Amino acid sequence: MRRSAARTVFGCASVLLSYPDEHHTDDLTAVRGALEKLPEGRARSELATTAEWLGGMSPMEAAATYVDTFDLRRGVCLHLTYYRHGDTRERGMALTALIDAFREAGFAVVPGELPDYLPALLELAATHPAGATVLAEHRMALDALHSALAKAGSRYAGVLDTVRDALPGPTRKDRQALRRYRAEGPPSEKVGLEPFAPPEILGQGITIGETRR
Amino acid sequence: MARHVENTTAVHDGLLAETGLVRAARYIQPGEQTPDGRELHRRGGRRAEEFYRERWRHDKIVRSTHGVNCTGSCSWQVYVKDGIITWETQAVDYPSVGPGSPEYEPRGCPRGASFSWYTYSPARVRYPYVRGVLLELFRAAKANHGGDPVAAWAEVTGDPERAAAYKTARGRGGFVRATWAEVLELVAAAHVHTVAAYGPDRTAGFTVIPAMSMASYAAGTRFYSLLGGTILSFYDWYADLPPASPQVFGDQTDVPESADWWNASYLIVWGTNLPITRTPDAHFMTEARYRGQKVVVVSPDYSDHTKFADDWLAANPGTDGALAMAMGHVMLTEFYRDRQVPRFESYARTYTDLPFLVTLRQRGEGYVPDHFLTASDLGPDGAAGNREQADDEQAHDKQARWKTVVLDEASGEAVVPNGSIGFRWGEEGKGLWNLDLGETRPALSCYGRPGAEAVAVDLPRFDVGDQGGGVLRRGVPAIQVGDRLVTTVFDLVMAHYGVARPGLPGDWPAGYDDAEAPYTPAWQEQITSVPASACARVAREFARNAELSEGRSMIAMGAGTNHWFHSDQIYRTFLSLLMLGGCEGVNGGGWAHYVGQEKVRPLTGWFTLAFAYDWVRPTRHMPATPYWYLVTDQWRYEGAGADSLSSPLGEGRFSGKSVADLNAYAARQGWIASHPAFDRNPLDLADAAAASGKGLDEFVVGELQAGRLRFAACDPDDPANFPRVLTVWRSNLLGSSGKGHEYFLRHLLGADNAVAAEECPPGARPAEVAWHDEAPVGKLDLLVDIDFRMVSTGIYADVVLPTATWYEKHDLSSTDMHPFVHSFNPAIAPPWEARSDFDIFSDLATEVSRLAEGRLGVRRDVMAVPLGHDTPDECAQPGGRALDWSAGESEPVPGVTMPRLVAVERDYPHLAERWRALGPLVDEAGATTKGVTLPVGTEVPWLASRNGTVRGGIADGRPRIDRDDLFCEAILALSGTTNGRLAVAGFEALEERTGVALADLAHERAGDRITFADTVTQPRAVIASPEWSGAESERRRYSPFTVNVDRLKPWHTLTGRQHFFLDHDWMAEIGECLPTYRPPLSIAETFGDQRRGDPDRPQLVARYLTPHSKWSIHSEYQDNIHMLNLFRGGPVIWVNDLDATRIGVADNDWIEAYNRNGVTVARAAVTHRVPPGTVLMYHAIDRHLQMPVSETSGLHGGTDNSLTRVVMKPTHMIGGYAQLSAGFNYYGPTGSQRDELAVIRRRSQEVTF
Repeated sequence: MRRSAARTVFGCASVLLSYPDEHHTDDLTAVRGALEKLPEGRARSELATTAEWLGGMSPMEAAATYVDTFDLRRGVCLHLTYYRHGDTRERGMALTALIDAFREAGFAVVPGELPDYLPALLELAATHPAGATVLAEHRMALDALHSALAKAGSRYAGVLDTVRDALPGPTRKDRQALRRYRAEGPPSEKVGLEPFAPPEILGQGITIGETRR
Repeated sequence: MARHVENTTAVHDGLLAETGLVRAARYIQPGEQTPDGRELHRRGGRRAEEFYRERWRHDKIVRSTHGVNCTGSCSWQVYVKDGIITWETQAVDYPSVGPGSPEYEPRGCPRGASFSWYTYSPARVRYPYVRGVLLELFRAAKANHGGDPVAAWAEVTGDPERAAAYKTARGRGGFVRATWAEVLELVAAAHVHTVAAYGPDRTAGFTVIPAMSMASYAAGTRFYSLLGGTILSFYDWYADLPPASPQVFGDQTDVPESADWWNASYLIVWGTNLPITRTPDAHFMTEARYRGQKVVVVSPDYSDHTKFADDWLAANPGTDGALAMAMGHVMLTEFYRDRQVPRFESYARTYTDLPFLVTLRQRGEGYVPDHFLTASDLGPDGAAGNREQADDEQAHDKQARWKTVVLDEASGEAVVPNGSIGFRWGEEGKGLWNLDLGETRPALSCYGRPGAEAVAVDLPRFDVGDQGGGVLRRGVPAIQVGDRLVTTVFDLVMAHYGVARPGLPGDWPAGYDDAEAPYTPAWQEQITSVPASACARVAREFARNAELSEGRSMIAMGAGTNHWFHSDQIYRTFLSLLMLGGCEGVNGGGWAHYVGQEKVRPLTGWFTLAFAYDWVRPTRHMPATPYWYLVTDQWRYEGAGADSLSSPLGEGRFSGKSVADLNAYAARQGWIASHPAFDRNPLDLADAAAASGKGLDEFVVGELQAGRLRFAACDPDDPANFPRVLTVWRSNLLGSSGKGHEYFLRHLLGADNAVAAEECPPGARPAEVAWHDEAPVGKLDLLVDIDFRMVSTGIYADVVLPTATWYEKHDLSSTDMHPFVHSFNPAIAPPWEARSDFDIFSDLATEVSRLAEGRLGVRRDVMAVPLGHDTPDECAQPGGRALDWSAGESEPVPGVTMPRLVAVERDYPHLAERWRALGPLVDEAGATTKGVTLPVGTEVPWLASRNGTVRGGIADGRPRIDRDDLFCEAILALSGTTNGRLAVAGFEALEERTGVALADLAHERAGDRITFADTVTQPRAVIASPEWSGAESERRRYSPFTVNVDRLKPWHTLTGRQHFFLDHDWMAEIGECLPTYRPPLSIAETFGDQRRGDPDRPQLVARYLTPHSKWSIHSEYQDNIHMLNLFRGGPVIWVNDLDATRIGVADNDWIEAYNRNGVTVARAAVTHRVPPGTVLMYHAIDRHLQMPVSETSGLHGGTDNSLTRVVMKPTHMIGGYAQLSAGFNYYGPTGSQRDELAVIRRRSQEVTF
């Protein structure tokens, strides 16, 4: 996918995965407009279908569906570092790493929201190349979120499909991590047993934001 | 990949590789070499390492703690980087407790350490939520009414169809996010409409345990106090409140700090699992063993604390009272009868009611103990007396009926010693309210005295006769005082415990091995299964240790023995051992009751602000147990009448009455608070009274007598009396404390429920309380839940508001366990849309004021205030007589025979302005705690300069308290424990009343003031203050009642001493004048066989216990994966291995537990550590967490409280009589839950969630 097309996908996905608030109708119109410029294909049709589905609901229905889908279930969570770090103290470190990534790119997440919030990352990806890099770093989380949505029969799964398509495929490690997540869920605290920083930070001395191959 | 350019090595290598001109590093090398060639420095390229190093460079470290009611009150350091909480560590800077004792540091356990995840967890409530169906209805109605939200609320709730639409949706999801503006408008509109249409007392607030976050508690109760809402208690509702504490001490839960365990040389741990529930404090117990402390554990199961025991007494669940009675038998026999211990006797004479005289009344062929002899029974010369003379005497001394009497050992004269409650109030008693006996040496016994006769007394027993009990006839020595036949409390105690003395008639035990006669060691063995010899040995050791160590025998007790219906009796039997051993008021001795974080150290300041006593006094304090009992209609499902509890020697006072009837009786007698009080809007009642031209008292009494006005407690199902708006914050009512959970769902909320019980059939229904054929469902119009987790309460709420966690606000914490106050501080701002409880109520107050403009205005509000403990009203009803004015047994006089009536001003448009400023009422009136008034007005100028003042408006010039840190500052400034000047002033006020020296206790810290900034710096040790009963300093650990013992300051009881004997009419009716053993309620007898389904299916009927968990604190952390990982990861019921085999259950099988009240589902933890016939389900289980659908009910299984139902004990409703008087979280019916039975059966192992 061309870079500009990918950016459009990220931008539309960011809007579609955001809470349908009072600007929802305008947002959907903007998405439809943006999709016009996208070449025909799976991404365009998936996103258009989702936009139609959301537009077809009353604002209250859309809001309740969103809350039921994303707000009340631990396993369907738009905050991506949760999938890798769960509720462990390592998550705080992972979040500060993301703040760093945003800062490098010249951005900051709005106050009150965490830097691993998928719509925020998608917004970055729509604006700056660093965004796609960070998203690719969280491939496992995107895959896990996708399967949780698919399992729940949610139409939102389609949005995740297009986002994943716009990114490089999962690495062997990503696939391993996903298998582990599926088997065990997010990790639990092992304070005292693992006294160091998360492996992607300490493990191979890899730079934050760099894509691992 | 421009970023890689930073790596100099890469640039170099790349250049060489591309050109191919030179070999690598032939002439140049990257980096800088030191002159000696030993080091090479290269820049860049190590971002990961830099990042890792940066990890330890925090932007800030912030002190905070966890507000979980775990009693730990541990200070933590929270590390923040880039505005993100990265982790936390224990704070280690507690002030030292001095040499010779272990320190409080370190404190903190895995439960606290696992907290920080809550901040960012996906399970967090991040936005305000309203159920979509309600929001849509509200928006539409608002549009219909030209944007008027109050009219909109009236319309939605007034239309049965629309109301049902959103009420039946409760618990079924459908939430949408709302803006703060909109949701606050909705909630405020509901309040304003309810106040106008039904009365402010139809709104209610439920929050708990102020000590775990004082400002957050107070923010809401201050709002409801200014509104006139009903403020619900929690301590009695939790069944954590020990009613025995007011009964015996006239004080509620004053207990030693944990460092005082170290001072004990004999420790019985009885019903409290110290290493599990007092984790950071348990080290004091384990360390004390190294200096020779003996530890005895009484516990039915082999629990975590049992392994610390030198002796383990495995008493059957609920039989602890029998064991303690037998221990008392041994102590009285060996340390009072066979041998006298001077210290025990002197303690008993001075600090207990044992020497006080009790009249004996003829009943049939024998006598029964009647009432305390009082000065009014004595003639003017102190000897003879009859009724006329007594009345005459009373003209001289108004308090004569409140002055109890002893017999002087030397002269044989009846003497009225100082210190009884008759000296506590009024001018005459000034300087005489003390325990100084002067020349008098009270006789403990009439035995062997000149003129003493042996009199046969009948005493009730409850170990026989299936609840009905039986009668013991035993003799006491009695003498004649005037026309009264009297004996001492001690003599009654000896007879009751079965300690024979030659020459006294009746049936006495033949010896310790007499299993037939109560209350011998052999007798208890049949009930408790504890060997008689072990019981006698521990009793002997306990007493002997108390003798040799001068009282350093201690009993740590808690929920295991306190959550029973008859817990007051269980505790009285324990406290008797401590009083007989002279252990109360001694460091290292006495009771150590631990159930929750009950101790608000800066009590006066907190109380004043929390209930807005700086603007309006009093407030609508309401015991929660009768409140929920009525509003959730649990009273409609009673299995037995109130007389089922009566003594065989009772007079039939309860016959034909239900418990709800007795509650209505207690309410109109002024015994117990009952809100809403009347079946009319109290604002309209005030208007009507004013319009009538009569005084308030005269008008209300007239209306009541004419039948135009009724007490709401007489008709809880009348829609006029429904609770309409309920806000729950800092607690999980439905998932944690809601006894009768399924009844809440059915009647209060109108949601799906699993109640299977039948309502009372005609004939078994209340006599007085109105019965509506159709029980109402969905009484409540609005349930607001404020939390940071979506717990069961939120699931069923109409509105859920996201609140700040403990690392996102300023607040104060204190506990019973340690002597420090310390602070919560915001490490980060509340993320997402969360706001602190404090800010939420500030905003709600603003919105209510805005909507009140033009709708509510300034109104008068009539409150019915019960006769309060620690006020002169506690001397309202002499002799403890139950005389019903509505039956013509007395005159209806507000404040004497019925509740005091008080009309206060409600300034609704200025409610928010009042909320935000310290009001003027404190300037002159000061603030009163436990009858001691602190002149807090002197602190107002200081506070004004410290906090700044309000400019303009009704509070112009008053100190600001509109921010949480300023509010905390005010709490500290207005309390004796945190302001030495007030501590001294309070003690001086008390000196005036008692005539004994007290102020020196606080002199060494007279100039100390603990500011909020101090608590941010370090946990600070509090100052000895009259707000509490113990002396404390850096040289002395806090233990309750040490001031009473050291300084002869009376207890706040009838006699001014600790009580064995309680002479209220209802105590006699129920047979509990003296501590006694009562078995658990006979649920099987009352409700029959509860098993359902195929009779051949193996099912176990078992005692169902709900102790505190090792892996959570109440419902907190039940959803924490770390905690769940530690054990099975979901709801578990512990079953004995033999029981399990009998019903075909293997370890980890899915089982269902059910009874008439509801159903719950769990995995079985099969273990021999639990005795047969007993199952354990740790509370509190949220019903949506790992909880499968039940095959019994077809609903998601329930909580641990799905199987419970409130049963109220009538004696907890007694009031108007000395220590048995009303007080918030002081005395009231407890929501006990351990007498229940559950049916356990294996279920299909296929579960769906």
